[in-house]
Amino acid sequence: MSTMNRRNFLKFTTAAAAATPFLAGKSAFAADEKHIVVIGGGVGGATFAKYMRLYAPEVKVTVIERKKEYQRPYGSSEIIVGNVDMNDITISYDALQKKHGVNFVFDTVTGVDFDKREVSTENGTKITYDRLVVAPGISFDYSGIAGMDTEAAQQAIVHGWDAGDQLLTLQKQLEAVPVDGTVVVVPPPNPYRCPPGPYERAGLITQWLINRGDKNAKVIILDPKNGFTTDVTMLQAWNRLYGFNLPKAFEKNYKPEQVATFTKHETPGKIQWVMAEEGGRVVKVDVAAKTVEAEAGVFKADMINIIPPLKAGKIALDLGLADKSGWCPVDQKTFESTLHPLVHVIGDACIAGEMPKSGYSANSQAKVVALQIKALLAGQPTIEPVLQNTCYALAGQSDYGMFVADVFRLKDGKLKRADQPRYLPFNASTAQYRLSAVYLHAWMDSFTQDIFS
Amino acid sequence: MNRSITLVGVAALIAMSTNSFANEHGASKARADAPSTEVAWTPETLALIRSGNAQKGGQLAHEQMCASCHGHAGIAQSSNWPSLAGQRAEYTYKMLQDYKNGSRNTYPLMTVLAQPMSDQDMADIAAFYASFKLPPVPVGTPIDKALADKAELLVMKGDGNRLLAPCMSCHGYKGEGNVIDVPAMAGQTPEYFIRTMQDYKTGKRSNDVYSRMRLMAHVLSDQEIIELANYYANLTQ
Amino acid sequence: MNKTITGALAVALGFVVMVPAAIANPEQTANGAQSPAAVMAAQTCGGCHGTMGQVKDNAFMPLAGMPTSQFVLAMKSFANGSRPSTLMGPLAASFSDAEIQAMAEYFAAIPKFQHEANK
Ligand SMILES: Cc1cc2nc3c(=O)[nH]c(=O)nc-3n(C[C@H](O)[C@H](O)[C@H](O)COP(=O)(O)OP(=O)(O)OC[C@H]3O[C@@H](n4cnc5c(N)ncnc54)[C@H](O)[C@@H]3O)c2cc1C
Repeated sequence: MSTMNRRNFLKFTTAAAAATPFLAGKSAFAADEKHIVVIGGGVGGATFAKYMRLYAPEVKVTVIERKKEYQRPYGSSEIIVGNVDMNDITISYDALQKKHGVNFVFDTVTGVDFDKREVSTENGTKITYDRLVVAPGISFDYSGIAGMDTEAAQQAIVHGWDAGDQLLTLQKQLEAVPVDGTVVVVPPPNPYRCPPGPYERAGLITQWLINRGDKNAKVIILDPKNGFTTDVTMLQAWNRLYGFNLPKAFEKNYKPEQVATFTKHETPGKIQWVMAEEGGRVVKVDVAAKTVEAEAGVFKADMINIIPPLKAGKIALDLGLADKSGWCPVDQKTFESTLHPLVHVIGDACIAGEMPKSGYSANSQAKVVALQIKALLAGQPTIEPVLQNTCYALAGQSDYGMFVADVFRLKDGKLKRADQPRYLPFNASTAQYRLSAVYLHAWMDSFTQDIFS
Repeated sequence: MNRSITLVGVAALIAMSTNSFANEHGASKARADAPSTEVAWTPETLALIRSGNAQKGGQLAHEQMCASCHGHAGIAQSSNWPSLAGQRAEYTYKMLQDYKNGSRNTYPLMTVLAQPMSDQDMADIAAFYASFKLPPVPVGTPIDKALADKAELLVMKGDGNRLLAPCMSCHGYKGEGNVIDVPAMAGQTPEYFIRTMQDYKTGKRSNDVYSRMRLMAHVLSDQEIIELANYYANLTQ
Repeated sequence: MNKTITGALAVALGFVVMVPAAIANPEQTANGAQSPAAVMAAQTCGGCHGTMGQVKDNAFMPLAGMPTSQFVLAMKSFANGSRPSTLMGPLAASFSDAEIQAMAEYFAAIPKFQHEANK
């Protein structure tokens, strides 16, 4: 046992001892009590644990999580530009344990014996379950980008897409960008966590450079895609704020009269989006020379932020819960794995039809699974699911917000978006942008409360 | 006679305790030396408000999406937000200014909306809401008549022992408000009323000139605040 | 070290922080009485409006304890655009009348989140 582990061990022992008086009651752990084990205490796992206890207090829930505190990825790009600090995005598991009676084991899951229904951890603990919920988030796949496949390269050019210290690295790298320097941001191909996220980050960096006083700094987005969630509203905002010119190849996504409202900026903008059709796909990175080679040519940068292709969290891959896409197929009504019975996969790791990989999706899926597991444990029919996603994003300026919002229902076994407008309208008023930014920040708090308190 | 004595008492109390009040409350502490408002009732300001164009104000209110919370005709869409119908223009104008410059910082969303507004915009919007009649009893929120009745004594007589002036001495017999910026409260949504009084009581809201509402709210019990909320919600013209 | 821990045994050994499942907080009891379909529809609101609509931030409307008629009117007027909004318009339009009614009844039955001082 390492020191850290011994400390954890002592803490558990003490906490359990303190709880002993409650355990004297006869009903505390009846033999037939159902036990749900959760892998991962992120948005999906923590929401599930809280709501399972809320919906069915008679069920015991144990979360196995490798970190003692959660750092939320949602809203974390604001660390890079100094709008918030690490304390603001760090969340305690106290309320889940004390208020909601969720058990926590702080350890890393290393294996599951599906026949014995038994989870094992790095420290050698084994825990049996009646049903298992797997919510391990994402892992990163650098294999497709030449020059990025070494540990050293991945430490020099970080993604910052899973919270943690990489955000501070990015913050330092941004501060070190010389006046009027160039920053390259590389979003991943679909599907990935937080669809508007890479573009919001590029906007935040642009705004930061402007605030610093740079007149000619540049943020270049090299994209393997031809569009992204919130693109029509985001590009309109950049046209207004950052001298951004609409790529010719993208004009077809607007009505002609809408294109006419875009300003044609004489000098190229402070932010530039090279879409796939115009050669945005990155093929090679030279870490030492700080160059990124895309199909359109070689870009020299002072700072590079690459978010590589994503897959389901490593443990989901190791357990054989993913298919060849790298994500986990599930029955989209109950989120039960189609590869292993009695195992539900939620959050970024699962394939949920048209639902994006977002915190809101993970939260909504977790509640649905809590309801379905409650029904299944009681031998009742599962319920027709309704799910929702709302992602807010900033254009860069902290008072210019936008969003995507969708409701999802099951249709022919797949979760499909309800056919409604999902963005702010093209002719939205200033008040609507400003309010969206207010709601974005309010959401960070209310959403965190819904999961963790 | 009774009334003027009480008012003098209140004035003395205000003079004595403004500082200590501010100090013992965290929220106002941060701004202890900031003025409670930056709006001064100069003849120019009053003339500007009088010149407010209600029709333009209606257009602005539409653009700013005021109706989403305050209703198309200033009658709140839910129990949580205030009705603005029939509100004194000076009060609405002052609130918009106070939001804009941070004197009223209880609700960041309103600050964000007020920031782009000019003085004239605010006068127009104030005129727009002042052009309506005061609201009827809020719909959808059950008003407790028995609770409302209990507040009558405070409203009509105040409480000399606690140096509490009767509410009506400033806010009017029918809750219609008073010169210059004493707000109307008749038909106000009770939850908003309670929140406002609690914010005054704790000092979280501090844009009342001379602390006059903070001093009142400070000595009111939570139960009395609830009774008053029911009283004013139920009071219609 | 290789230990097999199940339920009660884990507690006895003291490796896992165990809180008895039987101790329920008031929120838990409030959910029991609701129909599963209503709980299902209402859960979609929680990510912004707080767990069971008991949000503690005043930018979003608390839904807990809102009278049914007020909820239904709000959703319908968001959906048909007569009440201006940022995103509530399209969202409200995505729910059926039956879902809106079910949500309304769910939230009306949940106790309001009380101002600390008014508890
Ligand atoms: C910059 C950025 C901005 C974003 N903004 C938004 C936004 O505005 N709105 C929105 O809805 N979403 C946003 N997101 C996305 C959101 O954060 C994720 O979609 C969400 O966190 C996914 O939840 P999850 O439970 O699947 O994974 P996570 O939240 O990543 O949780 C996974 C947990 O599992 C644990 N874990 C993994 N493996 C193991 C193991 N073997 N043993 C034990 N524990 C393990 C991890 O430690 C982690 O705590 C953003 C993301 C980023 C990066």
